[in-house]
Amino acid sequence: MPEIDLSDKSKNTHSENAQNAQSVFVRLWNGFLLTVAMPHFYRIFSPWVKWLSIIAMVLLAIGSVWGLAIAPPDYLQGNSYRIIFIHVPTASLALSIYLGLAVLGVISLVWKVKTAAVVAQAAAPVGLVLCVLSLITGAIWGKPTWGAYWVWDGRLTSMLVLAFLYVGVVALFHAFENTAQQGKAAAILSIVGAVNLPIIKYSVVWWNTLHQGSTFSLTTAPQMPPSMYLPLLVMIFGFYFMVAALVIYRSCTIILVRERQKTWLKALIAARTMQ
Amino acid sequence: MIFGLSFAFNNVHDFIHMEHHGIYVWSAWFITLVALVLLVIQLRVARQRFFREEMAKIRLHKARAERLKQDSIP
Repeated sequence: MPEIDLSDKSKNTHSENAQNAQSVFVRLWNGFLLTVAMPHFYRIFSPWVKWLSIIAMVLLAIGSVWGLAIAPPDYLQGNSYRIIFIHVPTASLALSIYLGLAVLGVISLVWKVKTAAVVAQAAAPVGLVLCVLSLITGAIWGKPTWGAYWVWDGRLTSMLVLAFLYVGVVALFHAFENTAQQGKAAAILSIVGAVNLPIIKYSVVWWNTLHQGSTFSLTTAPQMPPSMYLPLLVMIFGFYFMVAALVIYRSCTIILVRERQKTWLKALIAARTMQ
Repeated sequence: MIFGLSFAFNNVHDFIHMEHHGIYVWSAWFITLVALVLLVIQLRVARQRFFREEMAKIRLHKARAERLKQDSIP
């Protein structure tokens, strides 16, 4: 009965294939877990900090000179619009970091990856600083443009709510003695608070009061000439590199503090005392 | 004029003054710079504090071990 043999054989190869695919997936997953395990994260990413900060400083210096001294003044807002070169990067980074906190929160709650909680803990205060900076620079820009430092416009109010959410997340990371509990509580607030992100993004469309619409979007052409949006792009990239450097640096510090009893770290500190 | 880019102002005075907007633009830049520098300093201090504490612990441990060794010599 060759037919049955054949079908049996094909069944076997099917299940073998499935098993192979599964084992490849499991191996990839285990490899990923090993890479993001705290000692590996420290070893792999801590040398990046230097290079990321050098790139960030170069980009920010170029962007600042370009934005402040070379970009032409706006026909309507004059020179006050130059605040955009720090206002937009800080605001967009504040949103991106919060989105990152929510994603890291899911990763640490669902898959119990400890490093995700560490990176979130490192990123939260950086996001808070950038969020507050975007509110301050926005207020300074509002005075010459709208005639007021603050108005209860949709974008401004939702951004203020984001700042409070950041304060909550940062506070929860310090709220408990137990690091696992800290991470869990902060992750839940990060995930729940992410509902504010689309509200901020579409606030300028839904409540079209004072804050101007988006200058940039991934899908449409920029609303500015290249002489203005190129320095803005340089500044945005500079801020991204800077945030990457700061978050990695702080994550590594948190890893050092948490793993201080571990053998690999004791060896590292002992080597430092020898120097 | 370098690479087709030129100074957007007539002179340095205009650059600093920015047609009455200088105070807003420069204060925004200054506040951002100060905040970021403070953030970097805070992160560096936290890292250095960790190594200082751990290295002090190791030195204390070594000193104690030395003393024990000396005491045990008859």
